[in-house]
Amino acid sequence: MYSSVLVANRGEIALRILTTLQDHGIETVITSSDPDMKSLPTRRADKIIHLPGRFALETYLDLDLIIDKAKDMGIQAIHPGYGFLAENYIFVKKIENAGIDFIGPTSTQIKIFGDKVDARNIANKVNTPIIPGTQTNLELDELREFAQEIGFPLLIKATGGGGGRGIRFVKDMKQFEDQLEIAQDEATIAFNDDRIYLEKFISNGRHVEVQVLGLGNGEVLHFGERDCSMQRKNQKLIEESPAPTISRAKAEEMYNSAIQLVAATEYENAGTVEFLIDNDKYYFMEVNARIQVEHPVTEMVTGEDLVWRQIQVAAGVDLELSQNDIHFRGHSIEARVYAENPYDNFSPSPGKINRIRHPIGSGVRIDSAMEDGSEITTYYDSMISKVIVHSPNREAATRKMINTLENYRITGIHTTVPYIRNLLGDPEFTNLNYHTKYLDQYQGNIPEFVFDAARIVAAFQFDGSNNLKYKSESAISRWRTSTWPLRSER
Amino acid sequence: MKILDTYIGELSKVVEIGHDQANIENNQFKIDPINNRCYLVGSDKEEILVEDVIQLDSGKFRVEIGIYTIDVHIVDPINLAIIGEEKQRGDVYAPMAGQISKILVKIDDVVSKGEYLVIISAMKMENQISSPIDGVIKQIFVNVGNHVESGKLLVEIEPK
Repeated sequence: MYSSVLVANRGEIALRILTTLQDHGIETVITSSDPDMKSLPTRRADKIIHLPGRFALETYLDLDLIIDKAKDMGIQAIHPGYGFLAENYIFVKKIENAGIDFIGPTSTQIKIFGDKVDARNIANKVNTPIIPGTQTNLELDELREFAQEIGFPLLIKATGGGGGRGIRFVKDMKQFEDQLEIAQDEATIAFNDDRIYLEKFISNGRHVEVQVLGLGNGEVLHFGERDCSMQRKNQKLIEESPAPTISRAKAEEMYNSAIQLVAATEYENAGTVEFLIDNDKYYFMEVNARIQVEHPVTEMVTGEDLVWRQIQVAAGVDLELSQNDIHFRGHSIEARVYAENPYDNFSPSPGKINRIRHPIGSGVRIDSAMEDGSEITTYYDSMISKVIVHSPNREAATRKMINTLENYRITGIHTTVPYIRNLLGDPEFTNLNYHTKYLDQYQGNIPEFVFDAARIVAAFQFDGSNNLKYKSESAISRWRTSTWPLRSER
Repeated sequence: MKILDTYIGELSKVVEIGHDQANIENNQFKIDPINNRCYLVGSDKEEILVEDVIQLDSGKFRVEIGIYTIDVHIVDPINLAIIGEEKQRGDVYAPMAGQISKILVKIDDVVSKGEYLVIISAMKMENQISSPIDGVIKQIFVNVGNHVESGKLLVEIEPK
């Protein structure tokens, strides 16, 4: 096993990985940009690699600087987290050449699955159905021809994209032509690759993904599936495990497809195989060759520490784990909390968190690096935390999540907490009457009297009233706005 | 009783405030600073705990009630005239901090309401900033690559 590991990331995922390393007595090193020097993960790590600057490009994405410093410090392995350099095969190739272990797939595997069109070709080879779409690098005429042939709506996807970024939904030829250039620009900025391809849009589809762990010798374990259908603009907002709308027989079928697909590359380490479900059919979408944001729901239902399993695979340690040892218990839901104003078209809400009080309780897990006074900057993404709950079944997990979110207090900036809380109370969530485009139409409501109360508070404050000075004492509100029906039985 | 005009977004409501009570439309609220905590008590005896109040700008307040964060703008009759003038002139401000990734217009361009002017890249998203009015581009105050703070004047448009 390693004695020193670098976490080349920031925020909640850096903290989450540090925790596992420290649980096992491994020395931790972390990368830190200027604004992150006082952050919780930077303070928790044993050693720091300072990356001078603020912008991601000059800090967390400066792969040569990170590798040079890692070599100087005698680091044995690098965990990339998600985002930043996690799926950058050039970075991984350089790490491999520097004689440092990369805690993730090989550079070849990352390159294959990073190219969405190559990945589709592999799926074809192992007979997994794929969504009708084009090859990459087509001329405008050819793209137009395909669009006409397959019909609208369509998705314009970045060939080098993934994780829901670099996708544009277009309804007709005019929109298609308007959005094409923006899509290419966005792809260049986000992935440094302007290639795009087209895919047929499957309406009312559900997003279900399988968590896999390749041992590198062709053997692949699965850790069940996650449903991530609650999305807004292709960004996941709520994830759960197990997937509530598919039969266990269908799930087994998908596990097999997922395993065959990655086994074709002798896949090593953790990955996610994403599928789109259309009624009783499923189609392969993409492989995410990294640990994902939503991995905690899988950890809750399996009792496994996936990050530790990643480290064991990279270190070549025997896992002492077979498929029959992986059991599933209960139901888990994750909600992502972002610094965005859900009532103003989810516009970013950067700024200082005045106070944050994470909810606690049995079966509740919070993954967050935020504290009182933490700053949400525009340099990185706007995630505040992930709230994960575990209960015996979906109904109980939903109740627990609503109650947990109601006890979350974050002041100073707008957050997605009230929106998600109201969404979970919506009968559509309980009855599974939603799909990956549902949230684009959904409007979560704020109770009218909250608006009135806010107007009054502001008016008093404006008038210079001393009665309304905030006092830093803790307080329990007796006030509830639950739209969730209380249980009638006692 | 003092009368103030409160805005949430574009929606305005008149609030009447006294020493420790306030009226809004037909609802009455009472301020109740129990143990130094501020509660509003509604006419149906519902207690509302105010978690935090933050002054963002002159007349702009962020009120934290339970899990909700509400931005309220109190408009002074004096300020109202200035705002009206700015709106008519068509000054476009950055709604968020970020980096200017594209400028889609140039000086003397004729634009119509809703047309995209500038794209600000923030938190990995491309945000299109559109024209509030029909008019002609008079001045552009930013360049591609500039980092702007929220509220920065981007473009001045002369109304048609």
